[in-house]
Amino acid sequence: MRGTASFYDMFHLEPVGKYVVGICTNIACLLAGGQELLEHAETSLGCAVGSTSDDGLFTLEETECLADCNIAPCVQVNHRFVRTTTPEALDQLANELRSGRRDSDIPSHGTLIRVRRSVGLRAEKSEVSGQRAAAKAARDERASGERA
Amino acid sequence: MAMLDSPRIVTSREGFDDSYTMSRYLATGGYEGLKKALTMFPEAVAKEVDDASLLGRGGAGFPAGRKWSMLRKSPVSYLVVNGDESEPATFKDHFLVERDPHQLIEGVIIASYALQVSQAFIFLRGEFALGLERVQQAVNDAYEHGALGSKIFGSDFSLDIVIHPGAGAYICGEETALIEALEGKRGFPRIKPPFFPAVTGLYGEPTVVNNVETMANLPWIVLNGGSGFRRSRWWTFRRHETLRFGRTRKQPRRLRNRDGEEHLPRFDLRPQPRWRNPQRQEDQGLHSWRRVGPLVWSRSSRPAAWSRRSRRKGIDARFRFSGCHGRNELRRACGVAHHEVLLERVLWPVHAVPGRFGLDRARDVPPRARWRSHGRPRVVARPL
Repeated sequence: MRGTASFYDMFHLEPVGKYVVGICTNIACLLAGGQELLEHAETSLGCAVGSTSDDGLFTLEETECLADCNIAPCVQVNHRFVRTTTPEALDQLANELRSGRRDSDIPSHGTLIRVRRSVGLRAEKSEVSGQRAAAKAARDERASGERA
Repeated sequence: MAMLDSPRIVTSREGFDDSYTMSRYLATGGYEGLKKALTMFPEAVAKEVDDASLLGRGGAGFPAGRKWSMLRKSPVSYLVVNGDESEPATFKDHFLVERDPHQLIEGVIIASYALQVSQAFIFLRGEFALGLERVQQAVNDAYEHGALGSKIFGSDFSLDIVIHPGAGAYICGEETALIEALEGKRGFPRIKPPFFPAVTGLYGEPTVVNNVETMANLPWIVLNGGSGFRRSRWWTFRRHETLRFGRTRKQPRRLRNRDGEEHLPRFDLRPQPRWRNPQRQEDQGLHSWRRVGPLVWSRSSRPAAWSRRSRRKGIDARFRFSGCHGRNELRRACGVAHHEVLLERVLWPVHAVPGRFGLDRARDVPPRARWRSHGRPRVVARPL
């Protein structure tokens, strides 16, 4: 369990702040000033990389490529692209987050997708079990064929 | 150039602000390809894709039609769409997922129909929170429209699509690692053989794994035919690929990622003219042509190229692959001092890729002789 949780970047093993700010320092962002932005964010958000600020509002992270290299350096808040590339814009964003003006487009950490799946296929139980039995029979047949 | 007239395939709705909504998609010919596909036999749809010689857009460039034909016959099989885009300097899937989710959904439905699969998964990386919302909304809308679910548009075909957010791991872009992650395990690549998930994939069943952009091409292919797709080609692949893949030498336009020191970083959809004078180059979007140094061709798993005379002649200088040059030479050529080791630290693994063309991902680099006629790949990175 721990092995799986520690494998993925988006799982945290410790409590995080309301906003998890990720700044990319991969090659395209690094060349566009990602490292400088990260250092600026440490002072403006009040927390070191990988830690949470004292007011429990921000957690700062250094991330790998976020696939938004056209607006580098790439910044995400709660896995949403905010497109702030300069230190000034980052300060403004931090103030907006503190005052709650961005609540409509950036939900607090823990809510990834606000659109829920409202639909799905409804299949008869007998049909599902029949398909599963057929699949299992095919697998067994294949396994016995490999052994033989 | 005739190529400039070639149709826009996956970016036809780029100009609309509401390109991700159902109403806009229907107004711009949405789900027409699916309706046409449902009137055809599944094998005929697969044959169109094979005729189109559509190469996989994930990077390895494996022909989609051939991948489909390898799918083992089984009572249960799956289609998985790989949207775990995390290669540095690559962001085309991000664009497609956020801006045109319905096109992706339609492509998935067409592919599922051709493969006769009743369960498809779209694996998107979890960092695309907005993209995930839009794709999920698109799936919900498609169900309401009758394009998904049981008996699609009154035919006998039924399909369900599940959106699966990844949890943040670069390696999950590899197809067997992606399947492991989809099963809820650690995203470790599987031991090969079997080499293809088409034999043993998700939950031990035959599975086809395709890229988002590959799927987005399908509605157009079905509407215009495989030969129409092949005629719209403009990109030439290298010769060794011709030998390996037969007639797949030329490919229609594919998305290339363009970023870095430019006024309007965006997708490079058209062959760019050469920049003969600096003013023209400014118009083309470079901030400062004097400072162009190392270039990374669209993905960083590829050797960086650089200009020996970049400071003097700008981007018009001849480029050379850096694979055969030392790091100091690269550093000097970029005009970077010793103490600015950051650049070296970053570029070293890039330019130390063994072999001239590096890893197997380095596929869409045009031969140097083609740069003149097709325009050169654009700048991705610049020196500090």
